[in-house]
Amino acid sequence: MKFLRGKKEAVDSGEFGYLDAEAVYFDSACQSLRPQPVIDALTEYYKEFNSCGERVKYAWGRKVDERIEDTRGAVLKLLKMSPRKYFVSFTLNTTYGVNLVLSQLKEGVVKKVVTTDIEHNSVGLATIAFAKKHGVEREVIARKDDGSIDLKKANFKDALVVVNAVSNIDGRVLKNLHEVVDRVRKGGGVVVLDAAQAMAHSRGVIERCEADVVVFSAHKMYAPSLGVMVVGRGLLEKIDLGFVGGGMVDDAWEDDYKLSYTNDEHIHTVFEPGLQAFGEIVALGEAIRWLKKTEKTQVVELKRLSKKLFDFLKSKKGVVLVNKEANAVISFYHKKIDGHLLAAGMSSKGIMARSGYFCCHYYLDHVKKYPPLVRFSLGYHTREEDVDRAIEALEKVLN
Amino acid sequence: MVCIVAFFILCITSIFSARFRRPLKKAWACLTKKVRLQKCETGFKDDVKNSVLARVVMRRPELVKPLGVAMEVLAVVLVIVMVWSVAEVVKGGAAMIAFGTCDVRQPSACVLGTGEACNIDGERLGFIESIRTGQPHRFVTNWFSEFGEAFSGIPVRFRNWDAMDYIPENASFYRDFDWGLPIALKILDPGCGVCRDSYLNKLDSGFMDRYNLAFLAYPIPGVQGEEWAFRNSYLIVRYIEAVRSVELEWFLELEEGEGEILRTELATDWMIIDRLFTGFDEMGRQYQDAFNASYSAEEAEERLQSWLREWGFSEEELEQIVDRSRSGEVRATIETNMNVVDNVIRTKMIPTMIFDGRRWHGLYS
Repeated sequence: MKFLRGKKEAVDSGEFGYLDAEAVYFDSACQSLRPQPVIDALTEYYKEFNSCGERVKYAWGRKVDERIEDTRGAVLKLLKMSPRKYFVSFTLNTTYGVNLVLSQLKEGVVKKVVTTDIEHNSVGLATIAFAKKHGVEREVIARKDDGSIDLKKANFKDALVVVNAVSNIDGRVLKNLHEVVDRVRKGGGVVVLDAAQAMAHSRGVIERCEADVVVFSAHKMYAPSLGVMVVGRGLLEKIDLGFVGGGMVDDAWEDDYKLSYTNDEHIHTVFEPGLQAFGEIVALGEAIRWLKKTEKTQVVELKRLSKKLFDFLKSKKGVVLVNKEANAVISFYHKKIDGHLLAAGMSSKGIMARSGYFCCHYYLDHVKKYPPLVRFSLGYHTREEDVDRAIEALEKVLN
Repeated sequence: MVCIVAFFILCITSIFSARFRRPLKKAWACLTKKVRLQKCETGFKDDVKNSVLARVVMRRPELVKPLGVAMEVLAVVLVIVMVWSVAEVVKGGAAMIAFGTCDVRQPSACVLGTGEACNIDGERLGFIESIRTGQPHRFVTNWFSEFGEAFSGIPVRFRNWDAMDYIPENASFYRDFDWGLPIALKILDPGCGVCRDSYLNKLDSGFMDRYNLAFLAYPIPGVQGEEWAFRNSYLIVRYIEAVRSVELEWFLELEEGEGEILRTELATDWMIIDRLFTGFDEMGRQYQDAFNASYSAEEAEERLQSWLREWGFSEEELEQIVDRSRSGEVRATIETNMNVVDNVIRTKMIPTMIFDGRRWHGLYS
């Protein structure tokens, strides 16, 4: 490993100084890189209090409990959501979180399921499976170019609405998110919000939202691999729990059990069967602290770099941009060069960008009939010279 | 096609480096789908192509398309060549088992052959030649014909061989027939050096004392415009068959009670072979070498006639033998014998011997 970014530059590049300067990473939409403090927090857990939380009386365990409770609180605070209305459960990732909710919704709670055309497979497949299992209609709404949903055409009565707040294709934001949530709830429905792409750089759109569940992946917001569910307490009435086991019971008998979530202090256990990823949860707390601090100074730079790359791509004749505007996620294809080949070519120059359909096959392949795309997704680790290297590498190719 | 080629290449590279074993698994998954005529959805083909084209696209993007097409074409060609190679190996293996040579048509072209034999080569129409002459179909049909010949030869090779089934009717045995000894047949070409070595080895080992040995004279046909592989072989064989034919008539004409007049220690056909393989002319040249390399047809014929005179044949008898050697009857006999060798015994190498229930190729040692 070459530490060419150097210590001074490490500070300048937001605690990513450990990275090899030759490696240019543009796949933050899949998994963001971890800043040093987050890595340190995870390491600290493993080195200093590596133990189970919950139901332990020894010192390390109590420390784990404290740090995990801190993280739960930090998540709610980050989203400006009230602990009186919401609680936080941890899981594997966004897909897992969405499925935990959809697979345990009571029969008859909703009469239809609604989603949109630009959803990730985590939502697309889960809603198809839900519709089949419950024998209900599934409606796919086309999102507008600005990311919003046309509420005049939408019918959310008694509907389970599962949508993303931000698209992983082009960073489109569900601009009328709050109106959508309001309409669904007034219509007696349930809103599950996929916030995976929103948390790192577009979090504002989901702050204070009243969705029944907000699900996201910590690993897309500079934290270790972890799924997070922010669950409205009212949702529990609509859940028929079937995914149960260790870590979520107060007592068990021969033929029955008493689940802990009925005790408000342990309500989060409703979606936390089995041992949790304590170290990752602890490090998520640190990631939230780091993110709040970093975005104050780096968000403008991130937008500037994104625009620079967007403008470069827009200037190239053979390039067709999926994005209508610049943001940290930019997808495009070239009229003559295969996207996978382009990604492989860039990789030969040390530039790592994603290619394909980014788990959005329905929209990109079947609706838009695009060839495999290339996606640049920037993060707070991205430096000007990273963008310059990408531009330099592509300058000749895309002409 | 790309994944098929990649699979075979990775099979080899994986022997030397573990890092190729993971892609080998992918290639295998792809290959198994292909052979079941299913679509390969592993993306392996694109991975392979991209690994080659990735650097090209960054430097000379305009070359990506033609190179991609070239890779596909190359893959098709390589697959055809590989399939052909495998088929050739199978064919060669079958031929090796059946005939002791991996090349059915031209045994001398096989590097795996014994080497100690005179090969019965046939004419082969090469691929380029077949295209040039506008008959590529002949190249294909010949190939399949050789394939069939190789496989059909395997059961023939392993059947129980009885020399009596193939000994020409007028052939004589090296020694007086002994009912207590097994019978052996040697197929030889008078011009073939290995036949001479084989004969000498048999003399040394006392083979003729343990077997009733007869021979079938087979002049190996020539290739590339030559009528015969050894220039005077056919002439010698004609004399051998003429002697056999004439002596048989004389024997049948004998009155009851008249004894056969044996002019020489061996039967005359064996005398010719023995002199050819063991004798030297007045210039110290071994006779077989001289017949092959020095004597013209006239000189060869004179030499054969001189031997017959030496062995007590009168001028009248000699004239009868010479006439018979030029007769259609002798030519027909030779043709019949050659047909037995080519199509019944189906050997590709001379000498071939049949004894102890088996067919043996090459030098007797």
